[in-house]
Amino acid sequence: MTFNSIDFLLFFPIFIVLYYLFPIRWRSYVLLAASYYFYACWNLRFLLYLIPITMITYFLAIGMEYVQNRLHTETVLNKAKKGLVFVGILSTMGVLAVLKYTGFFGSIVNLFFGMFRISIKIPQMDFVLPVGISYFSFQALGYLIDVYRNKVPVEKNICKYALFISFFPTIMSGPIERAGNLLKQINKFPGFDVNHIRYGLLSFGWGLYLKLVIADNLAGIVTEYLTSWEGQPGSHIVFAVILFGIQIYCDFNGYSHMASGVAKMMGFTIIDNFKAPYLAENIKEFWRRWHISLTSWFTEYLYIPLGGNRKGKLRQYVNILIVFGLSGLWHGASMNFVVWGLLNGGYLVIYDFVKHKCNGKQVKNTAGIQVAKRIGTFILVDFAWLFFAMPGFREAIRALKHIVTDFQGYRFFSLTVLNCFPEKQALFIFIISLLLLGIVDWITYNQKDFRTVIFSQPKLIRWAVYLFFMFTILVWGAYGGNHEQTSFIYFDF
Amino acid sequence: MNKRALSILIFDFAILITFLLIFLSNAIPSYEQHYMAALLDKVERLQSIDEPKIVLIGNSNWVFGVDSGKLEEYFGKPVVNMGMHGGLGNAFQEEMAKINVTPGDIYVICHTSYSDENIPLDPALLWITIENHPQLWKMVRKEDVPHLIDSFPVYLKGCIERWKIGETNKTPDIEFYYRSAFNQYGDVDIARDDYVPTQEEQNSKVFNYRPEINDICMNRINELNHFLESKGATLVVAGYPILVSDEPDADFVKYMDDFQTELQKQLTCEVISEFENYFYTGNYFLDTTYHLTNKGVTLRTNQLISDLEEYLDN
Repeated sequence: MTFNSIDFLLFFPIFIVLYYLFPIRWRSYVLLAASYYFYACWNLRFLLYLIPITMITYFLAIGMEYVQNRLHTETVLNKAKKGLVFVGILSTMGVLAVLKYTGFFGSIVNLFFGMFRISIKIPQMDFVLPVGISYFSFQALGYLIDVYRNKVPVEKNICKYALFISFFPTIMSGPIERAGNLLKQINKFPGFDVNHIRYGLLSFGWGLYLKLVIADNLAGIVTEYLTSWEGQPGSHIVFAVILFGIQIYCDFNGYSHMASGVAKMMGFTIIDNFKAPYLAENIKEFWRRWHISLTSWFTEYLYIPLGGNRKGKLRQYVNILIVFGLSGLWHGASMNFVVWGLLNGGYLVIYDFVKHKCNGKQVKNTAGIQVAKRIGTFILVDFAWLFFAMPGFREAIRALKHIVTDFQGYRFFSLTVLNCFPEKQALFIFIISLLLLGIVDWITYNQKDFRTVIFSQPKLIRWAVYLFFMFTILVWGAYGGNHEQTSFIYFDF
Repeated sequence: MNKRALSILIFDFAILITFLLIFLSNAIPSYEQHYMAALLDKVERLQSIDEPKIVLIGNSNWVFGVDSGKLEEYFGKPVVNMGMHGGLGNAFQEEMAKINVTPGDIYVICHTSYSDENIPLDPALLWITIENHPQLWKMVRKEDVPHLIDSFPVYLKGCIERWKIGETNKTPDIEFYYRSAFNQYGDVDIARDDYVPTQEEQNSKVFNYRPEINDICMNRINELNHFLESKGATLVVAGYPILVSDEPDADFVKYMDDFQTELQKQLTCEVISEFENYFYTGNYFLDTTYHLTNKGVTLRTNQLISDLEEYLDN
């Protein structure tokens, strides 16, 4: 069941009515049952991963509290707690590593032995990767580390903890929640507030718009151009990669808005995963605005423990590259994702190095310079997307060579690249949607909430917005017909 | 709880839903002149006949494969051709046999495969067929509902796309495949002997296709037979037009012979045809593996009359 499926549109209204009909003390159980049902709709067997990860991290946290109460020597206590966290890391990341990376590392080992003509072959094993495992494993591990750091209290109610891990709006593709935010809200169940429903519905509607009207309409074009790139001029591949950058943003941001809207309708506020990343003026700002829950997870639980920027510049740069390399690997067991991560890490290192060297030299940030910086940042990010969008590293390199040797840049200036849109109407929809996305992102960039802005408008404008969303999703949305209901790109990670 | 805010929310929601319904009522139904809408006329005819009749059940091999008027004339009983697109699935087609059963009715089933998973093969096509027509909704089985729900967006998108280009409820510009191409009995009886199939149509034809049998289909037909017998009606299985190469190989002939024997063994109703008598070469076929030209229709109808007559005589 995905948020953009008809099943969900039937499931959710029934659920939300039931949810509010139950007294508050029962709601966590209703929500837990709904979350497990929602997850099991994908595959009942996926619960075989979700339940053990929940149980293991729950008991490890309980164990941490137990040793804290029993052991009074600090060094022994620390060792015991570290041991428990280590077991937690081993079990959560171990499952993830086996399921997601066995094949990848096996192929690297085989390649290594092959270089020395040693005939040892690690058999390739392909496991069925449970949807959302990368997200809920990280969420569970984050909780355990927070407990270790005494940042959050141990959750003793197993149902509430299980709900924190399986919370259905976030289980498939995040945001990767923190116990300090979501678990805290689960412990103080929010009551009914009509404004939550309004706010949630608008979030959901905007997410649906991003997914169905922009991302899914672009998906066909991008797939067609990037799968047949060998027959395309370089400028067309570049244009398809630009469109991919917009597609993946709208796909994931759309999902995140839908998740946030669904959670809000139940009274929960979850982390904003995106804050107008393509309006960032530099790569550092981009990463503060893109997939915020994952970036902040890596920062908090990996980058800082590695030493962050506290141990000199060289060590900081190495740490950045480690974090981004692993972030790439998190997206998929393939070299192209690792290269994508390292490339972004490399950008950050260069940015920091240049900024460090130019320390004190201020350039007036005029509107023109801001625009130039944004375009520059977008180009860098988009270049990295090439590695992300291609099925493999080698293919990405070959496509890159093809772009350089057969660019045919005039196609950009003569706008023939726009011929990739199958008809004028598709181009019109794209332009209108892009303008709308730009407006919403601009509002977000200026630290305002677009929903609050809409709600503060006169009734006529509000209604125009509601009707516009409803009809454009219905008429322009890419669902049904030849499109079918599509999954979200980030479900694969 | 802020009651005023809640009432505003409910009011706003109601207004939005009203707008949505007004919009959708312009776009749905969308296929009233479509080929699939012929089912409306077929059901109407079937429901209007309360005397013993012959009802043809199956896919489009009936639509493009029989002269129902000739059958009616020969047997002196009204004939209703309920054949529809194969994408609806065998199970849905068999449901048509339950619409208006009168003692003395003869139901002739003619599937082109007796192996299925008891589901609509193309649920979006089922939507196109039933749209918002309550008389057709009655034929939808409970187990088909989840498939219908899943495919609703496909249908909705199709309706909206047609509305955008002004095609809502217009007769499609396709040869043979539209509602008014059907005659009163439910056959498409447009002259088509001169039709030259396109290369694509030609390539899609499967010669010497070997049909299969499975328990799901057999059990369902046997249950249907039981139901019809309890109502005083008769169910029989007849042969379908089988596209064969000019000289069908002995292997295929034997396969079809065994197939027929197995079918008769597993079914509680009678198989009235020798399937070999329905072997026709390519020149009798129109655009697909099971659609016949007018010449083909004549051959098949004569054979069916002979099979039915022999069955009734016994």
